Amino acid sequence: MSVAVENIPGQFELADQPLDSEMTLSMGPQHPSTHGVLRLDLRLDGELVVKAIPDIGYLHTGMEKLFEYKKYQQGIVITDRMDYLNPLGNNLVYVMAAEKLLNLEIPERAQVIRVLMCELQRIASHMVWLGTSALDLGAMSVFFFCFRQREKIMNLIEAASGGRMTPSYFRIGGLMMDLPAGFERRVKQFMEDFPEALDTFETLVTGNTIWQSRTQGVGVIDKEEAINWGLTGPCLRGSGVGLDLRRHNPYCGYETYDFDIPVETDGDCWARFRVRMRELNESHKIVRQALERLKPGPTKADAPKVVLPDRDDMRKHMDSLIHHFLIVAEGFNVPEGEVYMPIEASKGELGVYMKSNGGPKPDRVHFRGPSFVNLAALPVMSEGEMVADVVAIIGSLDIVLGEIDR
Amino acid sequence: MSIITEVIQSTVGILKGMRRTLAEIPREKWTVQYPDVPITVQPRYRGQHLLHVDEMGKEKCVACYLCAAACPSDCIYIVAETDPRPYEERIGRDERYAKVYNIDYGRCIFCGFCVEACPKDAITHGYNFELSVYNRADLLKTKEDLLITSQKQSKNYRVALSSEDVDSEYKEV
Amino acid sequence: MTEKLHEFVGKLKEENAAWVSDVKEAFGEVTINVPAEWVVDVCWALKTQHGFDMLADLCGADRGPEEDPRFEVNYHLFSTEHYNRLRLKVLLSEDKPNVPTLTTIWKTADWHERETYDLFGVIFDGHPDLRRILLPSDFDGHALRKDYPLRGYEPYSMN
Repeated sequence: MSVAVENIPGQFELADQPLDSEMTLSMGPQHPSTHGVLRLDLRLDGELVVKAIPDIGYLHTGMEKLFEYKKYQQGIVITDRMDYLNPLGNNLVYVMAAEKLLNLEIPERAQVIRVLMCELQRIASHMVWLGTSALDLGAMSVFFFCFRQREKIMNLIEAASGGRMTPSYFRIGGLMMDLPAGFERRVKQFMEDFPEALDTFETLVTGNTIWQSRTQGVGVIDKEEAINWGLTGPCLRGSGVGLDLRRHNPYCGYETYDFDIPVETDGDCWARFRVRMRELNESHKIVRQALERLKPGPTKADAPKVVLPDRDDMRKHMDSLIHHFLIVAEGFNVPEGEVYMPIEASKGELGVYMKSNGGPKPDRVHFRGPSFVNLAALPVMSEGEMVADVVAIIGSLDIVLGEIDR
Repeated sequence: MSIITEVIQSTVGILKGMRRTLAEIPREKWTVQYPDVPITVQPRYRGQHLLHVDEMGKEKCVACYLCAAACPSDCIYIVAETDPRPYEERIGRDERYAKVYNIDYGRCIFCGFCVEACPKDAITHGYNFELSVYNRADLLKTKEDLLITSQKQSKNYRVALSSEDVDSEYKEV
Repeated sequence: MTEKLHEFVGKLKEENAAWVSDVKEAFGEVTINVPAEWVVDVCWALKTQHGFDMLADLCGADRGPEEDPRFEVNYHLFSTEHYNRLRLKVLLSEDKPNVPTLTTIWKTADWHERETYDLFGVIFDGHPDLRRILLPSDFDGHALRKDYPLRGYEPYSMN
C-alpha cells in the first residue's frame, strides 16, 4: 500500500496533475483489503483522500460474450462464477429470466426450495462480508467464527447440489434434483445453532467501542445521492430508503413470506453494518417459514421440451428418451423477445437483461451486478476521509470483483 | 468524551471480545488435520469422473456423444467404434463403444452436466478431488485412467451419511 | 399491471409526440423506442414528473453487422416511489453510434456508459470521462460486437 507512484504512464495517468503537496497512492490490485483485484488511485493530501479513482477490469473474463456461444442451460454454470459468494442468487436470476421468456410455471415445491436455498446463501454471503470487513478493521477472531458458520451452509449446499462454490442447483424449469434425505433436519439444526452465533457477533463487533468509532460517521452518503448513484440493497437501505425487491417486485412467492425490511437513516458504514446484521435475522425468519412450507411435490415444471425428463421415464419411454437427446444435444428454442429480470441478491439489485432471437442460444445476456454499481459510488463516499477509512468503506460496500469485472 | 474514558472503553471492548475468543480454547476443534485425517464429502459431491462397467466387466458407454454435447467447457473427446464380436469377447456391453474417451481436467469445471446427460449411467462423478499434477499435459485423462476398474480411489476422503449433523467431521472414536 | 406504464407513455406522448417513436409490450414489460436526440429530455421528464428516479441498468446490444440500425442502448428505469419499471430503447446505426450522455441526470450512468462504450463502441456525447473500463486501454476493437471473434485476435479460421 505504501508505494508512492510518480509519473505513471498511459492508462494510470490521472486526469489532473498532482499538486506539490499531494501524493498519489496506488492501492491494490493485490491488496488484501480491496477484496479481490481492485486497484484504487488515491490522491492524498497528507492522510486525507482528495480523490479516489477505482480501476477495475483485472478479472474480466468476457462472460457476457461467452453466454452468446452457449446453450441456455449451459449458461447456468457461467453465472456461478460471477458473484462467487452468492452463486445461487446468480443461478436464480438467470433461470428466472429464461423462464420468463419461455412462460414456464414453476411448481410450488421448487419455489419454496429456491427461497430456502437463496436465503441460506444470503446468510453465507453476509458471513463472508462480516468476517472480511471485520478483519480489515483489525478484528481477527470474528473472521473465524463467521467462516465456521459459512462452512455449515457450504456443507448444506454441497449436500443438495454436489458443489460448494459452484452449485448450479437451479435449472431452467425447476431444480437439478430434489433435496437429499435428511436435508430438512440438518437445516433445522443449523437454524437452532445460528442465533447463538449471531449473539457472538453482536458481542464481538456491535458492542465494541473500537468498531463503533471506526464506522460511525464514515463514508456518509445521503438518500438523494444514494438513489442518484443507483445504490441498491443494504447500501441503499442504510441511507434511509426502504427498498427491497423481495417486497416491491416480488418473485418466487416472496410476497407470501413474513419479514421486515431493516432500514437505517444515517447512510454511514455503521448504518450499512446494522442493516446487514438485521438482515441476517430476517433471512433466518424466512428460512424457518420456508421449512414449514416444504411439502412433497414435483420439483420440475411440466414442459417436456425444456426440462430434462425423469431418469426412470427416460429409460422406459421412447418419447422421453427422444426429448432427453434433443434437449441435451440441441437445446431448446426460446421465443423471440427481451426481458429484464431483477432480484434482491445479497448485495443489492441483481438484474439480468436477456435477449433471445428465437434460437437455442441467447442473443445477448447482460448482468447488472450490484457490486459494479455500488463500487462506482466509492469516490463520493471516500473523498474527505482518511486512507484507513477507505478500507472501512470498501468493507461496508461488500463488493465482489468477480461480478464487477464479469 | 475524554481520552481516558475512550481508552477504558476500548480496553473493555477488547477484553469482552477476548473472553469470547479464549472461551473457544477448551472446546472441540473444528479443523481437520488433512491429509492425516480424511475430510468429509457429501454423497452428491462432484469429483473426478468414473466410467462404469456392468457386472461382467463390460463398459457401459455406447459413445453417443451426449456428454460431449452437454459439456459447457468442451472437455470431453470421444472416438466411437463398433465391435461386431459376441458379448463375451467385446469390450463394451453394447456393440458400439468408445475407443477413445478423454477428459481434459484442465478444462473440466465439474458441473455434472455430463452425468445428467448420460442415458446409460455410464459416467458419474466420483469423489477423488486430488487432481494436481506437475505437468499440465498429465491433466488429460484417458479411458484407462477413468475406468472404475482401474481408477485408484484416494484414502483422503470419507462420504458423509445423510443422518449426520450439518457440521460433522471425521473423528477417531 | 402494465396500465400504469401505458399511462406514463401517454403522458409522454402528450408532452411531445416526437419523444416516443414506438411502444412495445411483451412479457409484462413496456419498451419505448426513443430517438437518440431526445433521450435526455425524456429521461429528465420521467425523472422529475413521473417518479422514475433510479436508472437501474444501462446496457448495449448488437443486432448483427448486417442490420441497420445495428446497435441498441437499453435504459432500465425504476421508481423507488411506485416501484414500476420502464425500458427505453435507443437505436443507433453503425456509421453514427452517438447518443447523448445521461450522466447529467443520473451519476450512476457514468460506469454503465463507459462499459457500453468499451464493449460496443457506442459513443456517449458529453460524457466527462469516456475511457475503457473493463478492457485494457490499448485493446483493439470492441469485444461484444457480433463480428468480434470469441477466441483469438484474428477472425478464427480452421486454416
